[in-house]
Amino acid sequence: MRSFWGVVAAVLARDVRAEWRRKDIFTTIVMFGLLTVVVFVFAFDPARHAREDVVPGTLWTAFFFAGILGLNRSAGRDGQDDQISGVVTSPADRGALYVGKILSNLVFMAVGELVVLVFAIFFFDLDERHLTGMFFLLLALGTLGFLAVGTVFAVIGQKTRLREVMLPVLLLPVLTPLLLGAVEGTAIIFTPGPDEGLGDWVQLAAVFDLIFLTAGFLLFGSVLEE
Amino acid sequence: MSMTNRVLLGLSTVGMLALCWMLMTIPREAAQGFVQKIFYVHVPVAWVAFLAFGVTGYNGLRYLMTRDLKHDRIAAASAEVGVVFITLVLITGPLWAKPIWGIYWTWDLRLTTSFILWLLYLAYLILRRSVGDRDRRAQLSAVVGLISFLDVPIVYFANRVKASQHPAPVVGGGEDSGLAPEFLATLLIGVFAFTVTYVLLLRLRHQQSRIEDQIEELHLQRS
Amino acid sequence: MEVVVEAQGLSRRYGRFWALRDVDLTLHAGEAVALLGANGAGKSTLLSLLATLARPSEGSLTINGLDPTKKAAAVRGGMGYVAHHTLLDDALTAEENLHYYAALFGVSDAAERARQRLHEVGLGERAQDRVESFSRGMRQRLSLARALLHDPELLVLDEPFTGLDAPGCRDLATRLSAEKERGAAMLLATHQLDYVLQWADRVLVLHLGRKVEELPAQTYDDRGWAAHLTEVAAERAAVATVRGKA
Repeated sequence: MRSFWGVVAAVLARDVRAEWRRKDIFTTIVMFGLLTVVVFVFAFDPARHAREDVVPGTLWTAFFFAGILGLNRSAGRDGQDDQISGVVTSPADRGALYVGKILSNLVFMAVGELVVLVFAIFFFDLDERHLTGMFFLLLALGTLGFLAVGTVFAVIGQKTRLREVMLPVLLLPVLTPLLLGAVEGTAIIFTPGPDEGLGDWVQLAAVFDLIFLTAGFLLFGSVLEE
Repeated sequence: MSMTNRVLLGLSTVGMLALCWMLMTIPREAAQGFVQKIFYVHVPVAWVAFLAFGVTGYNGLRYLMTRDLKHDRIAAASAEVGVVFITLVLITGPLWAKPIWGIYWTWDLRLTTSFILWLLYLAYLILRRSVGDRDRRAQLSAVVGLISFLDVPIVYFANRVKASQHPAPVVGGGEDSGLAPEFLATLLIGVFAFTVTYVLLLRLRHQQSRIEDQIEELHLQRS
Repeated sequence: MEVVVEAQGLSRRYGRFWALRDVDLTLHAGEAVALLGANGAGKSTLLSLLATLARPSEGSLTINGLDPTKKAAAVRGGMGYVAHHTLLDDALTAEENLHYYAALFGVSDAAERARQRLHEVGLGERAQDRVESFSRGMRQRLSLARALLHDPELLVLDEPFTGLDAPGCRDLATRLSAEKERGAAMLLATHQLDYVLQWADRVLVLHLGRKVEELPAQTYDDRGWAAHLTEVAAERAAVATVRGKA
């Protein structure tokens, strides 16, 4: 048991430390997140479209697309100097490796998302009071669900001929219900008035996370092995 | 052709002919007229498409447990046959919707779920094409197939929550629209005919891929 | 002396191509076998099978009496792998890399062991330096330290002398023979026979995926091998021509 969490801690420490020095995953997520928001601003002029219609979708699209690039960078780097073989030839528990990866990716995404949020508050004139506890809960659940499946699929993608392109092809269809829940839930939170129906979406996201974190935990080993 | 396949072919033919006959003889449905008869094709092929994906997901799991390529062959064959069925769903849907509701498409519960299933199928098949090594292909497909299959009920429920919060017309009537006896019989015949056809096609495709693998084995023995 | 590796009829294919065909191999504790062969002969494939990076297509393999496809974690806990690539993260320091691997291998008193191994490979002074500042030779030495961290019973080395200068090669050879004395079993692929033949027990020659020679290191004759291979190659070319005409 101790070595399980030892592995989790080691993966987390190594990923965060390496990223702190390189900063390229973080840069990717933040830049691409911001650029996606900018693209949506030009695609759906906030002056002409109701803010509540545009902002939730813009935010979550930015998070998911930036997240995909971030996952690809992270998985790509794990392949450098064949480090992945170093991990595969170790007896480290595969579930622990999965948890460690999820946690480190979560850190990178959380930081990226916060930066994009600040940007969005400014450009969409978002009322900060909307950023309630419920909002952050939904943000966490949505990001966690994204990573639960994304972490597994990112490794799969690296093993195919299409490499980086494979990840969005596999991931986005699976994530559609989570995206729906996140956007609908966020829209409910950002619209003034009672948060009716929010509970359903939060529940959906939580169930999604539970199912896919479990599946990922059990299947990650199969994906790492030859 | 083997005995089992001959029987299946016979049943499939009988089933399809029976379906055609029923479609020609049952009265037109009051509200929608002739076009409504597409329902008896649309629903069975949808059922088969979801069944086929379940077969893919299940055999992926079995492969991961046993590493027997037979399961991977069945999973792949089911996906290749199933994608045809889900495409038919996406074709018959609009064919039915346009004359009656005036729109080709609506993001209602069933059509949306069907569309996502179509995407999941495509992703699975694209993955298979991008991995050269036989064992690696089987391994990775099994994981993706399984995860994708787990996703299907969640897609359904997510869209159901959305439908409950933003009520909108549903193509093909709500969930509890009932069916008169002769309509129900036609539907069941349709389900039977298409399911048998699926099983036949699955078996044929699987036999084909088994022979492909056997040819590979023979090449290996020679070299 | 206990048997560490027992392989029979070991084969591995990639599509229609047999990278390794019907290889038998037995390794006892404290035995070092040098693996020779032209590029593409199947050396890396054999090593990756022992390193549990790939599964055999045919044949049987046990490491420390265990089946690597069924008891992978147990097998890996006793196996150290050194490859062409360093398996290191160059944004981390030497020490950090070793601590990371120590955790992956469940090694207790990681800090102490890491320090010791770094010192043994001559990188004690550079423990706090990032790997990106290391030369190729230094990275190889660190990679070896990484492989030895958990005192493995089996060492699998794929061209470990690559990129090392003469003193580096001598150092490595000393290190490896010391591991052999300690009781580790070793299979290493190399083109640098001079540094290996003095202390290796046997030489195993692969050609086109098959074992063509296995003999004691002392009786090994370089010239003999080259002539033999030319003979085998000519034979196969003749067979291929006949098949092509048929």
